[in-house]
Amino acid sequence: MSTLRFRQNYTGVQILRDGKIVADLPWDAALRAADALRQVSKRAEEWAQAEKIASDQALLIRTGAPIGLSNNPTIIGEAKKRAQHDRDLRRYLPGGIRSKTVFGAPTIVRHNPKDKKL
Amino acid sequence: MANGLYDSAREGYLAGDLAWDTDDIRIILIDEADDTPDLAVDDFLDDRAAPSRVATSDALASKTVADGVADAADKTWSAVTGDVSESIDIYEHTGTESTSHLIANIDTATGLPVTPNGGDIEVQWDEGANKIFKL
Repeated sequence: MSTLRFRQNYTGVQILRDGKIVADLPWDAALRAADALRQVSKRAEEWAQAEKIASDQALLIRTGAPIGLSNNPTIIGEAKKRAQHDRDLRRYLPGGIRSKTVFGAPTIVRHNPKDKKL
Repeated sequence: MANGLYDSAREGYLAGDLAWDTDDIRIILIDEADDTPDLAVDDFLDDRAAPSRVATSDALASKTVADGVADAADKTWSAVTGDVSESIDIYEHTGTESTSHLIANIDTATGLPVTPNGGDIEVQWDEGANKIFKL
């Protein structure tokens, strides 16, 4: 496996692979590349952790917590499927799954007695 | 307490023993001083002490079940007399108290508790999304 090294060269940054320069970037371009590399790396990490994220997201969906752990539609789709069908999730919910029955708010109106005709 | 379904109703709906839209569903004004509803224990109408039943309606009309929401036309008890009433029981009327499922108890509503004065008492169900209740 090749090794990468990064070296400052006056106002630029050099990237060396196995001792050979493969890129020589101005400092500002190097910073942009670093930002891009971080973003791509975070997406790759999310994909690597997709299984765990989907499980955690499914649990949040089941509890009704409005918290999103990922923007990846594939992971969210998998989480929704698990929230609907994964029976093991019940074990992680204290007290089981609460009933979602909700009631309307009725109004009770008392009318006055009808006058009796004499 | 709060408005809630009786556990027996949950069982009834899961087991297919209850059907909101086709069963004869009625409502009772309840004097809780004579009998306190217990959603987990009470299951059939014979669990509701007779003196606590201040007024019983006839069948609810225009019942619907769309989207899991139970709805019906507003209901009126005519010329009600008796004790102050703190809640309303909704139940399935079979003609036999020991087989008439208690469905829900409503003790949180505008106008409750209500003191009968010999006049009509009307229940106006919520016109919002949840109507009477939503499963």
